[in-house]
Amino acid sequence: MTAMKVWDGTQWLTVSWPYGPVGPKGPPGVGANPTGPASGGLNGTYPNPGVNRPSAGGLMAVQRDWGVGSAYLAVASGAALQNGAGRNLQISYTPTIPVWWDVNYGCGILQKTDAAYHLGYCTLTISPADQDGNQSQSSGDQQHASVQTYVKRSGGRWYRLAAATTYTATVIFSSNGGTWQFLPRNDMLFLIGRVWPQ
Amino acid sequence: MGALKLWDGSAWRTVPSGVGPQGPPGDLSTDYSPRGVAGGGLADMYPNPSINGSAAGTLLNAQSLRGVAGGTWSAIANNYVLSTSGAQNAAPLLQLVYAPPVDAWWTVNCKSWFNKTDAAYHYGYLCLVLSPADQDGLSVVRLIEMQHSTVQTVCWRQARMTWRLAANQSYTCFARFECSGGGWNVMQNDQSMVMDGMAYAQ
Repeated sequence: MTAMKVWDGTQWLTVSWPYGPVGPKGPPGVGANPTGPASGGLNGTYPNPGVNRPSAGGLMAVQRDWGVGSAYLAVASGAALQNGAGRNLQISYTPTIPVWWDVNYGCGILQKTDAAYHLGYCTLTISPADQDGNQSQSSGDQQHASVQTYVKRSGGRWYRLAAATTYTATVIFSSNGGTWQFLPRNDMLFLIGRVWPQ
Repeated sequence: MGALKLWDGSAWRTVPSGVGPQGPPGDLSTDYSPRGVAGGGLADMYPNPSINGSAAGTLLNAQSLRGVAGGTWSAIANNYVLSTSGAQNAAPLLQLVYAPPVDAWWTVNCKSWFNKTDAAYHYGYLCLVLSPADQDGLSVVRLIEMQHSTVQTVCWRQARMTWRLAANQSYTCFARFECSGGGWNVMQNDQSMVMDGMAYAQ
């Protein structure tokens, strides 16, 4: 705005007037979208961090193994169940923190091939033993080739694992005699582990 | 404050007032909490975002089916789907349906009791069936028992499988009975006929 002038007879004088009141204060500032690295229960970078699954109590990992064969395999007492392709049915896990390992298995068909009664077990076993000294869980049945020819075994257990140790789970067959076989097909033989933080 | 006036010889005129200077900056914030949209493993808005269950690996979904209170033995034949209705292989079937919003692990647990009603040996399977097959091609789990009405009259089967599901695909998991012959019953009461499902993000 141009200043207002008045003539006093000899010169122009600038008319000055008082300014209006000072305007109101601005609103308080607001926070901003967070930036930078996340930590604690989060990971990654703000504002889109990831969630640390162990801190959240979430499922950390899953392992699965299953049979891949199509023909019966004979099994002797003390032997691990095989996957039908020349190796043990097994899963392994090496936790980075102490965890719970929920392991379950199914042997859908265990056949007794001789005409005598014997007891046959499938025993879920981990090595080494967990933090409480637990290693195994057994399921047994008495069978005879012409009576209980085919019977399943299944079971599971929660293991308490220490950090930085590699644990391996297998299924061991044992019996008090006789001859036995199982079918290592993918619908008949499986071993599954699920990992949760302690 | 009064307005400035000038005498023009005949009347007082109001000198238009000026606009005051801009006010001082606002106060510094004392609220340092973050603002804006949360993403990644978080959801909703800062400063109070929620946790994205998929990222956290916490339970995404749970389902539970039971037989009927006071239920009793119900005849079942080869390839019948277990049911909580009066007749087997008829709705409502013992089955769960789930379409995960993300790739997921789906642990399904099923337990049933079977009764052999004739005096001959036959085998009977409890089959846990997933349709379509999971991401590794797995679709069936079978557990067998050999039974005879006067020997192994009643036996249970329990199938528990963790399926690997693809996101946005609808899956059905149901319990099917398979046998080599003979007469069979399945127990329908709510303690003996069970199917549970729990899903977690991969």
